[in-house]
Amino acid sequence: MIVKTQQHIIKALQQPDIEKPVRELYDYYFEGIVAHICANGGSREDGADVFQDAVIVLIEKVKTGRFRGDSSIKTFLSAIARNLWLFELRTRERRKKRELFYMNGENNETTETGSFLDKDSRQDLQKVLAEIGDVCRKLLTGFYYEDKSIKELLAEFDYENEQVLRNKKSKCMKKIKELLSDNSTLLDNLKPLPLYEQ
Amino acid sequence: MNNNIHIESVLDEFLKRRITRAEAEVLLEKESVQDADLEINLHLASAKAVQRYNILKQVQSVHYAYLQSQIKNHTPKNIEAGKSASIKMYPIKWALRIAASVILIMGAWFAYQYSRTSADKLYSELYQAYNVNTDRGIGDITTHNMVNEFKAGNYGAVIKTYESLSATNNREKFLAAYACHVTGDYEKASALLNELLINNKKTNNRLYNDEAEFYLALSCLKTKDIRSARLLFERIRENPNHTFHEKVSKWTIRRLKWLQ
Repeated sequence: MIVKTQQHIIKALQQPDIEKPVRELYDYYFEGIVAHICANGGSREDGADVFQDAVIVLIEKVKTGRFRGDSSIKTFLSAIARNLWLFELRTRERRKKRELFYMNGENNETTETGSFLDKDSRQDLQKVLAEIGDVCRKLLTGFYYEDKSIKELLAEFDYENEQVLRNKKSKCMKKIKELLSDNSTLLDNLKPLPLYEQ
Repeated sequence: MNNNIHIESVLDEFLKRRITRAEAEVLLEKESVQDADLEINLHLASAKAVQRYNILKQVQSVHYAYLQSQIKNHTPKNIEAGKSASIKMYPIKWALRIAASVILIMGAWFAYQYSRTSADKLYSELYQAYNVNTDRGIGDITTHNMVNEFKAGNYGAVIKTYESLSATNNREKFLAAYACHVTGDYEKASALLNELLINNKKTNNRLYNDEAEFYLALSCLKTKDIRSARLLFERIRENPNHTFHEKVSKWTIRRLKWLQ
């Protein structure tokens, strides 16, 4: 891929709406990564999962200012995918061993954390954001993800004034905080993650 | 509620990097927040949760759409196209497989031949008994019975007769050399045959030259002088008019090189 296109993708990934550049990543690199995973003992489904995770890691790096395009996106995605696949293989191997331990009445279970949120935490995260409701989700997304001001949100949402909007936002935050406090694992996994650069 | 909104504003100001953490903590303490650190961390985690959720949702959405488009692209029509493409690939695949098998078999055959090649094996393949069927018209008057002794296979007598002669011609020398060769005295056979070849070169004579070269090469094989044997066999191979040309193939030369 030419450098101009790569820079264009990185710049686009820094914006809140990332669907278009993500689709470009899929168009350019999906098949290559999946082929690599298939050549290393994985299925096509494994390859697709690994690619999705690698893309998430890339976005995470771009949004936190740790990937500025010094190396090529292809190189970065390949390296991340390779590591994720190795990690997955090791996890599967450990799972097999754990099953053997259980069969022998032993339990040496250890927990593993990935560089982004692990699968369980992702599911919990989606549950939490589902529980706060559509309005809260949109409001908090506007403020904390899209970096919109209260005035911009007021223009977008049907509230009487800023005060009412602020009250609503505060209630939404209270709700999400309560849910996170009830899920210490998810809370602990979120803590080390940096905030996105805005 | 107003207090809550003010606390929220302080936390957001910190989150948007407009105030430092220390400043935020001071302001929160003023608002009677008991554990400012916990409040800040929880607020940050909530914001991060919203951010990560939006990333996950968008990536999952593209991921799902992409996989769906792939399934659509593999409609029966496309599958047929894929099939024909893979059918077209088969001859190439098969050709490659056959080529690989041939290379493997050849490699195994060469390895086997290489391991099995020995001077004695080559000798056995190349050796050919010499028969005296007709007297060559060389004009020599023979006063001995060497030819009959040779024909009778009495090689000991042939050698004895040769040794009793005060002067010898090429035929007597060759028959004696062959007798030595057959009785296992390869050194003596080589000496006599070399003598014959040197004399021929000096006198520009070709009588028994081809026979001498061939049996000298065989004697060299027996005495493990592979280099001399190879040079002689190469000379025979390169000369299509040589009596023993047909006996020596490229394969013979190749294996002689291996032996060296």
